[in-house]
This record gives sequence, C-alpha cells and structure tokens, in this order.
Amino acid sequence: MFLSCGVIGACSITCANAQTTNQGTDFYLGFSQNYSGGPNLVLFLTGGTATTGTVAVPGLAFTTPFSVTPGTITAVDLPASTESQGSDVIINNGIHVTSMAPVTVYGLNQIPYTTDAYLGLPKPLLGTNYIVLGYAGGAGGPSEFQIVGSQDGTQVTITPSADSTNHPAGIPFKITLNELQTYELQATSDSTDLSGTLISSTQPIALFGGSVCTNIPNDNFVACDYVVEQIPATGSWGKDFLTVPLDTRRNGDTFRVLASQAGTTVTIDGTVVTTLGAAQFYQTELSDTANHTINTSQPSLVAQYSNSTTYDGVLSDPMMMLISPTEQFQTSYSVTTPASSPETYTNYINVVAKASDVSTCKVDGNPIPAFKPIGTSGYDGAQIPVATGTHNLSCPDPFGSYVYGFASYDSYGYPGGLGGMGINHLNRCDVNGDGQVDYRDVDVIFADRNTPANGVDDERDADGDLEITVADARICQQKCTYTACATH
Amino acid sequence: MYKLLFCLMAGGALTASASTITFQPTSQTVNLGATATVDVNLSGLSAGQALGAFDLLVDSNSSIIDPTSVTFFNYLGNPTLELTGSNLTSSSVEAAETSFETTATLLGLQGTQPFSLFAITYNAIGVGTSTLTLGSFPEILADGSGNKLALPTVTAGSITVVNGSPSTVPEPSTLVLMMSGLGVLGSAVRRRHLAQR
Repeated sequence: MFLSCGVIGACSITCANAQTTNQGTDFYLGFSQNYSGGPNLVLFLTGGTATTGTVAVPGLAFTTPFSVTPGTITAVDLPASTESQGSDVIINNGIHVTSMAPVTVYGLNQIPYTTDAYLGLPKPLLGTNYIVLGYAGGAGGPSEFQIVGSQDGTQVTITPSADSTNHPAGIPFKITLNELQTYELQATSDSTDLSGTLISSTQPIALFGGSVCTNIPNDNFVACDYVVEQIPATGSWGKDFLTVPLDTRRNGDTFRVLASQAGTTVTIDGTVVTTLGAAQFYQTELSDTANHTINTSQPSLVAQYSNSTTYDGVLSDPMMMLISPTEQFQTSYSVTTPASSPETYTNYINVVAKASDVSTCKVDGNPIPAFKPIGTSGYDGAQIPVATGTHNLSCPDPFGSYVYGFASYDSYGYPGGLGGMGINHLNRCDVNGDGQVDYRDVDVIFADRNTPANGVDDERDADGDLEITVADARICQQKCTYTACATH
Repeated sequence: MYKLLFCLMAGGALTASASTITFQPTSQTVNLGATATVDVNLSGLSAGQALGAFDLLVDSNSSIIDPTSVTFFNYLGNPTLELTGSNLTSSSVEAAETSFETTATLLGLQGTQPFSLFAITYNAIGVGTSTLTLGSFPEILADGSGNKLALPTVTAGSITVVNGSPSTVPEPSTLVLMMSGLGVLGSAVRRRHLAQR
C-alpha cells in the first residue's frame, strides 16, 4: 500500500493526528421513525473552512450539493421518505454526506409537537460494537433504534433487550446490510425499552437510538415526543461527565447512565449510587437547582432527557441529549437552532468550561454570563438563552456545549460536539481473538501500520487515536500475556 | 492535495519537539553511478526516556539519487529479532521499527546520544544536489511504553552527485555497516518467530 505513494500528497493513507472529533468528510446517517405526520427532515452543516459537498440518498435517487461558509449554517432539506417507517425492516434510505473539508452535521426530525435532533458522527468514528440507549415507548409509539450500513455485506448481530417485532428479548439474530441500507427495530409494547440492546457488526455501522413518541419520565406525564441521538460505539465512551440543568425547567431533568462493562460503579455528585452490569442503565432525576457531576468506574454513556411538559408545567416536552465525556470536549463549536417555522422555539445553549476560563469563553464574540460551579470538578456551567440561528462558541481550553429548545409540547436537543477518540481502549491488542496477546497480534499491528482504524473499537488501535501505528505495536508488545510475547 | 494540507495542519498542532533527527554525514559528494549511504540519527531524548518504536519517512530527489536499501541498527535491539520494515519509492523511504526489548534494556542500548536508527543507501543517478529531510507522514517516535513523542526537529542533510572525483566519500563506519549484510528491504523481520516460542 505504502509503495503506491510517489509523493506524500498522492498517498491515499491517513495522516498523523487523524480526525478524532465529530467533524468529518464522510457521514452515514439516517432518520428513525417519528410520530405520525409528514416530518420536516433537515441536515444542518457547518465547518471551520469554506467547503462544498453532497448530500445523497441513493435509494431515493436524491442528491443535492451544498456549500459551507465558516461561521454559518447550511440547511439541507431531505425528502420525508428518508425517514424509516416500521419495524424489522431493511430499507434503502440511508443518507450519505461527503465534503471536501471537514464539516459538522446535525440532523433534525421535526413534526409539530414531536421533534428532536442529533449530532452526526463521521465514518471514522463509527464502530462495530454498540449498546442501544434510547427510551421506553410512550403514548404515541414504541422504543426503537435504527442502524445504517457503511459497507456492503455487513453482518449485524442484534440481541434485543425487550420483545420486538419478530424477535423476542435476549435472543440474538442476524441481519445483513449493504452500504446505505437501514434497519429499524421497534419494541412490541409501548411500555418496554430497547435500551441495553447489544449490537455487533463485521464492519462499522451507524446507530440511532430513541423512541417514536415517549413520555418522560413516564406515562404519568404528558405529552409524548420523538427522541433520538446517534449513539457512539462503546469504544469511544467515557467516564467523567458534567451536567447543567435544562434552563427554565423547575423540577429537574431525567438522566440515564448506560454501562459498557459489568461492575461499573456510578457516582453522582460524589456519592456512589449504584453498580451496573454490562448493558444495564441507571435512571435518575437530578435537580434543577445545581449542576452535577457523574463519574463511572468503567466507560459509560450518559444522556440528559427533557421531561414531559406536565412534569413541571413548563413550556417543553421530551428530548434526548447525549452528554460529552470531558475527555472529548472541544475548543470551539458552531451550532444552530431550528428555523422559526413551522414552530418557534425558545433556544438555549448549556456550556461546561474550566472555571479558570469562564471570563474568556465567548458566544458569538460576547462573554458568557452566569457561570456556576459544578461541584468540585474545577469546571463551571452556564445556561445561555440564544436567538434562532447560528451561534459560535469558543474557550481557551476544551469545553462542552449542548443545544436545546422548547416550544409548545415540543423540544429538541443535541450535544454541540463529541470526540471519537477511543477512550475505552485499555483492554485491546488481542487482534486475532485467541484470548491472549502475543507476537502474532503485534505482527499484525506492525504490518498494518499507517492505516485508519476500522472504527473506534479496533483491537489494533491500542492508543485509541483511530490510526494503526508502530506506537500501537509497541503498546501491545508491553501487554503481551507471556514473556517475550511468546505463545502457550 | 486536501489530505496533504490536512496532514500538515494536524502536524502543526503538535507541541514543540525535544528530540532531533540529523543525517550523518550531513552532506557528502559522490560520483555519478556510485553509491552513498547516510545514517539517520536521533538525539535529545530526555533522561529516563527510551525510544521503543519509530516510523519515519525520508524524502529525496528522485532525479539525483535512488534509494536501494535500508539497514537497521542495534539501538532498539538486534534488528533481526525486532519488528522492522521499510518501503522504498524513487523519492522516499519509510523505515519503521518496533522493539520487543524492555524499556530498561532500551535505556542501556541508547545510553549515548545521538544514536543511529537506520541507514539508507542510494544510487547516484543524476548530477545535482538532493536534500534529505523527513516527510510529514509517517513521522512517529514512541517511547518505551508506546506513548507518542513530540515530533522531532530535523536538520536536513544532502547528497551531491558529480561527474568528476568526489570531494568526500562515505564514512568508514558506514561502509563497514554496508558490508555487514544486515540490510533488510521491504519486509518485516520476524523476531522470535523462528525461535519457536
């Protein structure tokens, strides 16, 4: 492979410091089923450099070019038929976004009174091992997830955590996806939850978890709303999370902590609250009167949910928003609110920044007011009301941002950014899967040097930087099961 | 082109380097049709810091010199027992090595800096001067634990090819190495594979 490179610029290989954030040039995306009614499906694109690209849904013969100007957001409307409908179905409706320079992509699935948005993850951040995080079904529809294939012939093994269409809980089954085919599965009962469903695949896939229309925290509160997020592969989950309450809510927010490994202790505001098994989640309500810290002993996924309107009588409704682990904070974000039509939202951005940075963090060039400490974490959090449109945020050091908004019986929310840096990589190196690390594994890594990792959970990517290098070989040499990397 | 720019941008974001890559001899002159060998040396590792792996690209002018072989040295262990690999094109050489030695052993081997990582032998195929420098990718130095080190600073070298008598010749130490038969081209050495671990 390397021999084909006459000069550096002609090489097809990746470079050092490969992309490890949600910015990218190649996205495989989808829209899972929302409540009934023709959805307004929009991709929002932004980037730090001027660029052009294409949004395509080949299965629908849809393609459109786009251009991105730094500091602004480009909106691309998609056909309503891009949304998956039904359960246990494979459809040719996957979305392919490509661009010349890295862009950030947000997806909005909007129906009046039932809307949510997600942050798109580029292809290098996709993986082959996932655990679904969504929410139980509600009055308007079931718990669901959607998978998008990125390569032809990808075999996917799914072990649903709840009874679902044609597939009972706990019984693994297999499907095969081609590039840009989607598979959607919904629970058979509106009261059950597909969170905790295990998914593995032979090639990287994209996963979207959520619910068609759920009541949060439960059916005792109305109204229901569509919720969705693109779920990161377990290889990029984190351990340390900092949260800020959703602005205007009066009784706090619902949180879920999903564990990737057995024996994961969950600590909230310094107190151990539970120990989880693999693929188990802990759900709690956290007050709106303070910011909160969530720490887990093993890599986990954390989401913040907006409760249904009647939970506190505030203009709002359910949405789902992933919380970035602090390891994946970034130093700038360009984010956007939905347009003011067909609904007008009151929009907010929550920011989590180092306490030493709060005087220098900016939103649209202006200081961010009203930071409050987040426990003893050394970070502060702020809630910023913002107008409809694009907003640019920056801090000297990496920080977190979360965008959300409320309308009558409606809401949306998504993280401003997520890193894909493989945090959950400490147990890698057994490349051939024989239960030990030896010279055969190290040899493979060395031979594969200077190639991209096959997703965020590649056994060869020992340092989790999404590249296979001699450094990974050296790390794995240090992890050999027996002396001198021998086999036994 | 974009990928190149992206690579350069990414590389530029790294912290300042403490280590230095030099070429030895820094400059040399050879006759057209002769061969020239240059060592790629590393210095500037901090106390207690060992080099456990490297992967470097050396660029040259394909109209003046043509790389023919790569020789690895003993500073990361006996190269016949470590993982080594090289890839040659007309204008670049990638040389990579991952050591199987312990960090303590590496510290002993690398006690005196600079030390030589590898040597490249070129055929002189055209009159002129070729600069020798590192390409931007791959450019990896890793310590004994596999942690990537900051990118090294580079002092470029050069090889001048003339039609007449050369003013300098390859250094004796390099010639000895050239004759020692340690050259390995384009394949990974299988340390310990033959040892029937």
